Amino acid sequence: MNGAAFVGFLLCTGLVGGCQESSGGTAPTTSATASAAPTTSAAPTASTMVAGEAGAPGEDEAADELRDYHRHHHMGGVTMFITMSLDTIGVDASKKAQITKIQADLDGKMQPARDAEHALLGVLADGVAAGTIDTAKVDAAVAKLGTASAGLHAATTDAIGQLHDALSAQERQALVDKVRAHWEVWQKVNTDEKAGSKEKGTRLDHLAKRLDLTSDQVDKISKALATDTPPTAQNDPKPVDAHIQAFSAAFLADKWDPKPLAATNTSSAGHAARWGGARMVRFFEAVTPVLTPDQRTKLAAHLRERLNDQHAASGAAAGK
Amino acid sequence: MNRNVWKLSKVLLASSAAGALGAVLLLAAPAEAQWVPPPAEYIATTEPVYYEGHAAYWYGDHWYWRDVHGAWQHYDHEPAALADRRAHWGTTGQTRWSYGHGRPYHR
Repeated sequence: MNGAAFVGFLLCTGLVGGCQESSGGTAPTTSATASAAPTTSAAPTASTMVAGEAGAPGEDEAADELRDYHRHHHMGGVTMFITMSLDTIGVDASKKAQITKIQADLDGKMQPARDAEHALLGVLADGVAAGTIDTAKVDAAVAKLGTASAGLHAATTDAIGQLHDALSAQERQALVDKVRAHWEVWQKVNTDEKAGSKEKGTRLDHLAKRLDLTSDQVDKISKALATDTPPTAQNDPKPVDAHIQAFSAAFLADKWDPKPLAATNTSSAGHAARWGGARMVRFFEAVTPVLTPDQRTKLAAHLRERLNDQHAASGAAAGK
Repeated sequence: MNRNVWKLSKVLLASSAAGALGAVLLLAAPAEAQWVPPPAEYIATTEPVYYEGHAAYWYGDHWYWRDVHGAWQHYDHEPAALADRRAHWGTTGQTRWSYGHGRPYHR
């Protein structure tokens, strides 16, 4: 074989391989980035959304809003993720009324946790406006949020059983995927994201844009938040992983049996609320001394506005 | 003369191997880049279409779903039923849920 023939052979081999790769068949193909474990998906962040999605801009506004939502709301833990997942479960019209009723029931059961979250955001807003956050008050508010969220498992077991029976196997799988997705996003913004990060899309970046912070203010806040708080036995959100795994197994089974959930619920109860609440408090404690009076007024108003977010506003099925 | 031909052959072989490798990489990269499954934010805010026992999500010009092992799968060729569903969306896309504005919207 001469040189030219060898080049042709290699190129043809490459081209054929490429053609097979790109043409594929009618059968489904495993994604090149597929992950065997759904909770450890290698899926990218929304900022790397591929081009060509129908109507999607370069920045995914819905994803950004969801991340911001999970930075501000920590009540309810897994119950909250289940309730939010019903927003986009996409059941057919014949089931819609039943699912909406169950969702309203779950929303109603979360009222004690919602009240606790309102109290926490209220204390924070008052502190930001005044220029000093009352540490004892916010610590007590975070503890109450954790306690109220921890009590939800027993209160919602029947409603989740009704939900299990109302949904088909494929709809239950979709709900489990969505609960895992909410948990992944919650972790992304409340545990993975460095508290003092100035990168685009972080909490500090959002705040800088909202309040027109100077670069000096951003640097001061970032420095104050430079050391991330280590998790403790009381607030480590990792046991929630085990609880979500247990919930997934129970909810995907043909027959609903909540008993296996009891152990993981006990070990994870209120952890996400305490961790998320404490992290939020620490952020605003670092921010407040750096702000001007006008910026503090603006931020306090923003925190009070968050009381009206979906599922966070008072009243069952709020935001519908 | 023969020595020169052999030298030329070695140069051609080396350059052809490098060229072929480059061609393979160039052809493979775009195909993989298209197979990017939807991120968690997308799953949490998007209403799926149920098809063949799966919740399917249209993302980056492909339909994706998770198999029983939790791995993302996609169709290389869009099934007619899903194409039909997508045709009814017009240019707006799959239903997305906004947690900033309080009501669902299409994107």
